[in-house]
Amino acid sequence: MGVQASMSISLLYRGELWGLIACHHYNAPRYIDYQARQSIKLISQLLSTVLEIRKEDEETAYTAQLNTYEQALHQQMQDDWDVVQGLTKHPITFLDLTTATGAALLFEGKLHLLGDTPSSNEVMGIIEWIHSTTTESVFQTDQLPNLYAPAEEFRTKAAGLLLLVLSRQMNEYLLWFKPEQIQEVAWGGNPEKPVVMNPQGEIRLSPRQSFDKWTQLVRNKAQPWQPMEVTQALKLREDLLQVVAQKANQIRALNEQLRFSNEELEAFSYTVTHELRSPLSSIKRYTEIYQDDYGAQLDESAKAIFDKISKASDRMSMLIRTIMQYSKVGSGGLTLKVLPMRELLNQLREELLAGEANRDLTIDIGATPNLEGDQTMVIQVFSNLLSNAVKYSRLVPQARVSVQGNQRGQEVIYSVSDNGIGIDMKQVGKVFELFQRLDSASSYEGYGVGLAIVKRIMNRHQGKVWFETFPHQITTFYVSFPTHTS
Amino acid sequence: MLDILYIEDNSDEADIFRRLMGLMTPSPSYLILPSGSQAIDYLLQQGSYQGQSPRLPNLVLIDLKLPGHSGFEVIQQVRASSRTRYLPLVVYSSSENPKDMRRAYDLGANAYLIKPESYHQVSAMMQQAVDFWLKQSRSYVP
Repeated sequence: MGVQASMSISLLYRGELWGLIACHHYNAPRYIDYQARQSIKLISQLLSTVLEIRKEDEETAYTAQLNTYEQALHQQMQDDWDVVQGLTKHPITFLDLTTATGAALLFEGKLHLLGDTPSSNEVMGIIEWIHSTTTESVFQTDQLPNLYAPAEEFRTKAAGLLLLVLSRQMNEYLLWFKPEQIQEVAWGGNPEKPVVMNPQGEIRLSPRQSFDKWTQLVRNKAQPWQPMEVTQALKLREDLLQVVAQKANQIRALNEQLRFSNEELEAFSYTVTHELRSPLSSIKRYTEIYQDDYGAQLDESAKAIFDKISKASDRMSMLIRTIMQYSKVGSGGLTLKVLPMRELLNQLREELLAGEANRDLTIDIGATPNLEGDQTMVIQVFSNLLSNAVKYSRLVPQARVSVQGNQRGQEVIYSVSDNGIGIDMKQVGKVFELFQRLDSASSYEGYGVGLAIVKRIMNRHQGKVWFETFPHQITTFYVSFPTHTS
Repeated sequence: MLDILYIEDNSDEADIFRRLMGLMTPSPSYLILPSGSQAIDYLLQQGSYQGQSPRLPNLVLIDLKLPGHSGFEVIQQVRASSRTRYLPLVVYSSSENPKDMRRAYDLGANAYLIKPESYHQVSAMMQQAVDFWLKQSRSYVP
């Protein structure tokens, strides 16, 4: 370049070299006298002071900005009542909380990536490594590849890592990434240019040489994490855990309410059984006693009246029983086990056929894949579906009922079909409602409870129930039980 | 001599029981007490029955839902006293709850009968049970 004289003026920031002013003279060597050097020194000191003030202002402004972002994120989590949505689905995300260029949130078993990050698998690898190497709840480094060799592969995205443990037990983490610093710098010259020795065999101090040394130093390194970034990240973790705890408390409170209303319901059904059933029994029994003792003296119309009293009390006692049955399905625990479906269905079939000896009725049982459920409740489901099928095909000369099971993916689906009267699709909304009966069913005995119970049981099994109907041809009810892969 | 102590607060149940006992031949002797507390006092010779040495029955028939001490408490106290430890004790209740049944047996009940709704069924069950337990009790010589 033909430089004949050079002078550099250091710019200090908090006692460290921050930068320099380089002066070159091209025409000839040049001497700068002491006085001039003194004034230049003054300029450098002035510049350094201004620099400190400006940097401090910048820092204050930056801290204030981060504070605003952090508060916004907190507000978003509160408003959305959802950690993931609050942190990732608004213009301000948790990536804005630091100078990081990428961020990840592993929460409730799902990984959410923001910005420029390693791949999902790589992030999970980092988390696994952290999980097995440290029990600290905060982990930060500006040279991840030097600690964790696989990070070499993605050092352009994550040479710096700030990781916060939300819950080790639940495997929940917040991560921020910074790229290797070398990737960010725009070089003033060609770093490949070799250092030249002069003819005397001396190596002169030159910027090129120090440049080479510097690249060695920053390999695998990112900008270090600033204290204020870590502070904000920690604050965010507190807010996040608070939201999680509030949600947990809300769920606990709801559970408590639920438990309370279940207990109330149980107390209620006990009262119903005892307090209503015993006077009803009295009515029933004294009617029988009256008929026993004075039946001979009664004429036909008096006998018919007593018959009506008996029937009404029978009906009422059946209603009380079905209410109890329905409420019992809602309370109490489920005992899930794999059920021998063929055996259970054959037994139900025998019982039903025994009660219908005088009709042309066949009940076919096809494939019967086993399913997992509460035995009493599952029997109830099939008992209700089958007895409906048998009941509503009563007027068909050749009644055909069939049961067919089918394992499909994550569910076991059973169908119960009959060729009976079917369901008027205009009244489809009533089918699974308690005490609702369809017009077409009014001439058949029943209380409108069976399918309501089926629905309730299927809900409790996290299953489904639906039907399709071609009246007087074929009507099929389907129940689907989830398979528990444990 | 007392054949049956029936502990029952429902007067209709008591009435039907009296009627059924009257129909049996020979008619068993019986006493009906309307509360658990009275039954405990009677069987353990305490309270208003203290010093009276009331006759011990050959069979205790007991409802579960009673005012004061429940049927369960009566069973427990009867089984805890050496005087009444081996009394035949039969629960007669409208509860079909398996928890109640389990609890009654755990406390030492000998049998558990569910009250039928129909008079004819009550009649058949009661006559059979009384017949069976009185025979058992009479053949047992301590």
